[in-house]
Amino acid sequence: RLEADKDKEQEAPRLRFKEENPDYKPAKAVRAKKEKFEEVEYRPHITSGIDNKTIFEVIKAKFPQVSVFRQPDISPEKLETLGKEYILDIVVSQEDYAPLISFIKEEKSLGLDLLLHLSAIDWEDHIDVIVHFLSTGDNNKLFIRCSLDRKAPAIETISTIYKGAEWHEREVYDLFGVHFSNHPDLRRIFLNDDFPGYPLRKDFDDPQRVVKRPY
Amino acid sequence: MNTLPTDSLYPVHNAIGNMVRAFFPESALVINSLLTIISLLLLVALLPVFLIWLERKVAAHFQARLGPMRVGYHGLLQSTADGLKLMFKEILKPEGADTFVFFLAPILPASATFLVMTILPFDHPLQVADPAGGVIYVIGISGLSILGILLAGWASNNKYSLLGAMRSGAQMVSFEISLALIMLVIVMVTGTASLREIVLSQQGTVIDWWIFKLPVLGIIGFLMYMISSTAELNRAPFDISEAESELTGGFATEYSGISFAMFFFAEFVNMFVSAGLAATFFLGGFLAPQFGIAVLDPLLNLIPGFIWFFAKTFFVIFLYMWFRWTFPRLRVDQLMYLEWKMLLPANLLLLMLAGIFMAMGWIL
Amino acid sequence: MGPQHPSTHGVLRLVLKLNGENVLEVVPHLGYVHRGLEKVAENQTYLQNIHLTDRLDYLSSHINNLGYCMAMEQALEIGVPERGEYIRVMLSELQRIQSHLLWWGVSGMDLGAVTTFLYGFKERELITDIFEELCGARLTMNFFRPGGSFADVPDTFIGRVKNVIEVMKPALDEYNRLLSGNIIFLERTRNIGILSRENALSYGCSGAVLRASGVSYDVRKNDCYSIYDRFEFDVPTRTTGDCFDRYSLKMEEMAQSLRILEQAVQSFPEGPHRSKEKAAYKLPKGSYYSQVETARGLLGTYIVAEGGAKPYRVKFRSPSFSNLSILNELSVGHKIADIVTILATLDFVVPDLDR
Repeated sequence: RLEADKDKEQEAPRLRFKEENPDYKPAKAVRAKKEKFEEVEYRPHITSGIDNKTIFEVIKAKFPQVSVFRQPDISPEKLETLGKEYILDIVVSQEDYAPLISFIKEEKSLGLDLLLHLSAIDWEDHIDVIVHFLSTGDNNKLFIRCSLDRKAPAIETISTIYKGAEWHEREVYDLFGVHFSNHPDLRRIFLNDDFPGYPLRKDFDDPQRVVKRPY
Repeated sequence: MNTLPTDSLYPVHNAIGNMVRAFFPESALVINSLLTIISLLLLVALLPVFLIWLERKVAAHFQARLGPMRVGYHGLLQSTADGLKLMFKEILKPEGADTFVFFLAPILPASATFLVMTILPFDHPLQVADPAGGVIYVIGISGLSILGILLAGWASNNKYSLLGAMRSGAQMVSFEISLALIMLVIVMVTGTASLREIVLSQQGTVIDWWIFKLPVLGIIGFLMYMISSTAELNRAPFDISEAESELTGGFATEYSGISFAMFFFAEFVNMFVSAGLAATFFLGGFLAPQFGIAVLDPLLNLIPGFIWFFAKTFFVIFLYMWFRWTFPRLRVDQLMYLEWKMLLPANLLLLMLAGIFMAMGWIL
Repeated sequence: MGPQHPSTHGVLRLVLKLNGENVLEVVPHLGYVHRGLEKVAENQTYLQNIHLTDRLDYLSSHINNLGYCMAMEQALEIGVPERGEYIRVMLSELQRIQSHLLWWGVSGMDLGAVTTFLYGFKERELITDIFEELCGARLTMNFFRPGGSFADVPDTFIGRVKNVIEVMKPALDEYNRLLSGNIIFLERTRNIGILSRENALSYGCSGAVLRASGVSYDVRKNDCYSIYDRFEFDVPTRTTGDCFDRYSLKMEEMAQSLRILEQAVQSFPEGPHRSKEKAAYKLPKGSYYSQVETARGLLGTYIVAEGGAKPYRVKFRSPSFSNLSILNELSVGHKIADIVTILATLDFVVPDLDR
């Protein structure tokens, strides 16, 4: 209806325009050219530093039960086959978790002194707590994982070893519900204290809060 | 130009005063006094309006922006508009506040300022009163504004206001001591405590102004006066009590409307008074700067004295504003440290040196 | 110090335990800006998540985008052409300078010198105008894509960057003259909030906070990404770790960014600005991690992919989160006014904190 109103309004000016410019031809619509790009070779991001083989050997010497994530039987020599950019991702059991981390802190040959973060991933049947380390001197990284039971996930705290873990563990407790024993101040950090449920779990489906998309 | 009659305690001997004396010989004293008080009140009322506009403009130009431009030509009517708005605001009183003291507190700084303004020498015949102990009068009355602030903090029934008021009070009381000592230096070298005499002792060329007359100590004294009076006025970089936003608004938190406006205006008029005192003590008051150049001096003398007084005062006010928008703030304990451990000994040293200079006759 | 506060850089609540003027304990309460970006990211496709990374730390949005795109490129093995890399580096450095300018202005304002706020913004407008001409947005750019950037830079870009370099060099001198030598400023920031080296490493700090405590770690130098290895720049460090060190470090970082910009402008190549686009971005099964150096510190993007069109889990390791956890340790024993100084030099942005 608005279009009709506009046509009515513009009728006289349009007629006048046609009279004044009899030779006017509107421009042809041209489709914008779609740019074509070339394929470019990928440059892998290689960090310097202690290679994965050495780290794995050092850790396996002290804790023989650790294994690489999703590569259960791989030996240290075969780690290069996993790729140039592969960052060592070690799975450790719950009992060895805290001892391993204090070993990592003290072991100077590994030099892993910065705690990047501590987070969690919710696989449907268990929750993985992941800890990422960085070495500021040698620039290498190490990832540690530990599987927890989904119904009552509980694990030892490492905030006595790396102090930054205190807030990261609070965040994991807040969003996943993992309980950290011996934590100095375990309470929710982002959400208010009476928030129902743990948002980042896969079964958190509150329709008011989570928007599911159709694709 | 020193041809005034001896009853110069109330030297209103300008044209208007003489006219009134001609028409009403008996009640001339009363009418003249009334006229002076009314004109001074007008000045006190109009000054903050102008000064607030000036502050906003100066701040804006320091910060590479324009400031108020819309209300009136270049925003001249801006502070009038703000004042009108404040007058129409509701005057709140917090519940537990002591009514009498709560409403008395804003009046005290304003009246203290007004009282000091009565003895400022605007021009030879333009001074409401000239007591022989003018300097001591100034120091005494300044205590009244401190009292106002402390009462405001107490009567607000708000612990943050109380904390802010205590801090401001402590700061102002400490820097009063420095101010008094510097004024004492001037009194000592001048030989008199009357403000008009202090101005008149700076007659001569520009070099005769006390800032230059005392060889090095004049400039040091002027700087110390600037620091002490900035702290006395609770202005940056010493405005820990009013602009430090952690303790809400300081002592004036609970005030709104016209009572708040009175505090605000009192601060600006106080700034004018401090600047006026600086001009009187160090910069020659209402005397025109004479450079000793034959052609220039009579022309400079033609310009009336109060224009010179205002010019010098506004120069010092510009310095105050310049400080405010340039420097970061001092912490409270650093402020106290500055006063008690640095300024006070320095002032005593200055006093001693000034005395030595006087005794040795090194004054220019 | 409540959530609405002129001195906290965002919405942060600090509960202070005081003894008169001295601080006994500081407990920060976060979560006022918690949007659950990690959960949202699980519900959107990979390309859609790039705009989420903008909103993490909105003062370094280009660099956040870069981190996420690098993780995607690592997974799908997409290369970036020369011009694309140069555009990335130049925009990252411009973003860093812009963020530091805002930080400087706000720091000065927190400490009482209000004029610095407007002076910093004056130069910042030049850079923001460049961004506006580039992608239409001044704050959340959403400009990078895996393989390069979304569009090519306009013709005026190089000229404007050269103008920025010319204007910033004397401007930096002016800023240093205004604040760095000022005795009041020095008194307010020296020996306030001293962070030891062990604590910095243990708490996981990064960026200027870590470098001021003596650890020389800059992702651009140590864990070189994009083409930073072609440019010559220094990574300044300091030893004491107090507020003044962090402050002077950031001023020097600005100068180093200008150096990188100069070198990049001289050798800016022609060519395509991105590599071939894929029809659908489906990352293969695995986990991918990339690090970038934002203006705040080290931003890590960890993507766990399960082969679909949407990620399984995205974790953003935000620098402000780790940097702020040392607040309690730093401010014990100082006065209330010092907390404002410490907050200013820690340089955090609350959306980065809360994600």
